[in-house]
Formats: sequence, C-alpha cells, structure tokens
Amino acid sequence: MGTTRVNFRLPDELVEKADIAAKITHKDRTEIVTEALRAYLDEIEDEEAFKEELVELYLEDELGFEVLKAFVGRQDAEAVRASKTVLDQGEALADELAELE
Amino acid sequence: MIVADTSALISLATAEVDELVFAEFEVETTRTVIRELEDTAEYDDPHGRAAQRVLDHRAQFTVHDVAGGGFQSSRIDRGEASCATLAHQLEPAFLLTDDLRALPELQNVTAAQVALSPIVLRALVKRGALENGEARERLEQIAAARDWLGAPIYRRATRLFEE
Repeated sequence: MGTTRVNFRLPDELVEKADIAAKITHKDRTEIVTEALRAYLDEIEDEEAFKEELVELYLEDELGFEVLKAFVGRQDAEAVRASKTVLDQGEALADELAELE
Repeated sequence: MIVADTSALISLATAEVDELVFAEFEVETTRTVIRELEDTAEYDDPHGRAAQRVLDHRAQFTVHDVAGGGFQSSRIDRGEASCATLAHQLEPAFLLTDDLRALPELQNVTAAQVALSPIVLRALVKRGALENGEARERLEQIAAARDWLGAPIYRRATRLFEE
C-alpha cells in the first residue's frame, strides 16, 4: 500500500497530546494518527457487523422490536420492521405482481 | 401498472433485469427520478453504471412531470416524494422502492402496495420470465452491495427462491 500526503487541521490540544505520546512511545505524528485512525475504523466496522447481526436476529424472530430499537434507533428499527413485513408477505405480493398486465 | 423510484430502478439494473421488467410490466416514474438517475450516472461505480443502464432504456417506460414534493421528509427524498405524488395520480397496484429507510413512511402515504426489488424478481420467476436460480444469484448480487441495514434483509429475501 502506498501513502498519500493529506492536509487537515487538528485542535491544538490534540496535537500537543499526540506529540507527547509520540515522544514517549518513540513514534512520529504520522504513526500516531495512523494507529488512532485504524483503531477507529476497526471499531466502526465492528459496530456495523454488530448491527447487521442484530438485524439478522430480529428477522429470525429471536429479538424483539424494542431491543432492536434500543440499539439502532427508532427510524432504522422501523425500516427493518417494514422490510420484514414486506418479505413475510413476499409470496402473496409476488403473486399479485405477477398477475399484473 | 407499477411506479418505480430511483433506488428500485438502480437495483433492478444492478440485477440486469430492468429491461425484462420494462417488457413485462407497465412501469411509470417521474422526471425527478430521471434527474436523480442522471446525477448518479455521473459516478463511475456500480450504482452509476446501473443508473446509466436505466437511462439507456428510457424509451421502455413512461416518465411523468409531477408538481411539488408534498411528501418530502427526513426519510423521503425528492425522488420518492415525486413517486408518492405520482402514485396518488395514477393509483398503480405497486409502488417500488429499495430505499428501506423510506419504506415505512412511503407505506403510510400511499394506497399502493409498496414492494422491494426481491418481490419483483420473484414475480418474474412466477411469470416464467426468469429462471429461479438466476433470480436468486442476481438478488445475492444486490445484497452484496448493501449496507448493514439492507444486507441481511436482502440475504433473507433469497429464501423466496428456495425450491
């Protein structure tokens, strides 16, 4: 993997802390920022996978709507519930659609 | 008659069944959706290419000018709102969307049955226009391109094609 020079602004106190951390750990700013960003992205990806698993459990009726809502928020939970209802009626809806002229 | 929004048309083109759907059904959409497709087609990615594919088949479906976006909300965008308005005017049997986040609100504002692209694939199989196994594979393609909310839902939809 190559590297790309990027330009962005950071709050002063973060730069100070990062520089102290860099000194203590014998790393440079780039390594500190790269590690922090990697950790952040890993966490986010884990969260996505976690939420996906929650949706799977809800679709399998192993998780109630209220629990799903507590994790993913009302609007996304409602999106999942509405989608599940459409899929549960999938055969009947497809029959009706297939009969259209 | 079917009214289809941007997300549904893009999904059907991703599954390469858009032409088949236009041949089998009377598909209607709005000028706003066409504009959204044109914007999406600017991107050189799977969504952009799918949007272009729909635009290339524009002669095979009907585009309507509908005024206003009375149904717009945080979840229903301009394209979907225009389709909801069109559905009020045309009273189609189905309103197609693949925007799961807009689905609950769309169901509330339209008298049409709101359906997702897997239902269309299943209907094509029932009509004998598409092989079951092929429909399943194409649905898996759509599922792979979805986010955490859509991926499990579209994966589950493959059960509609279990024999």
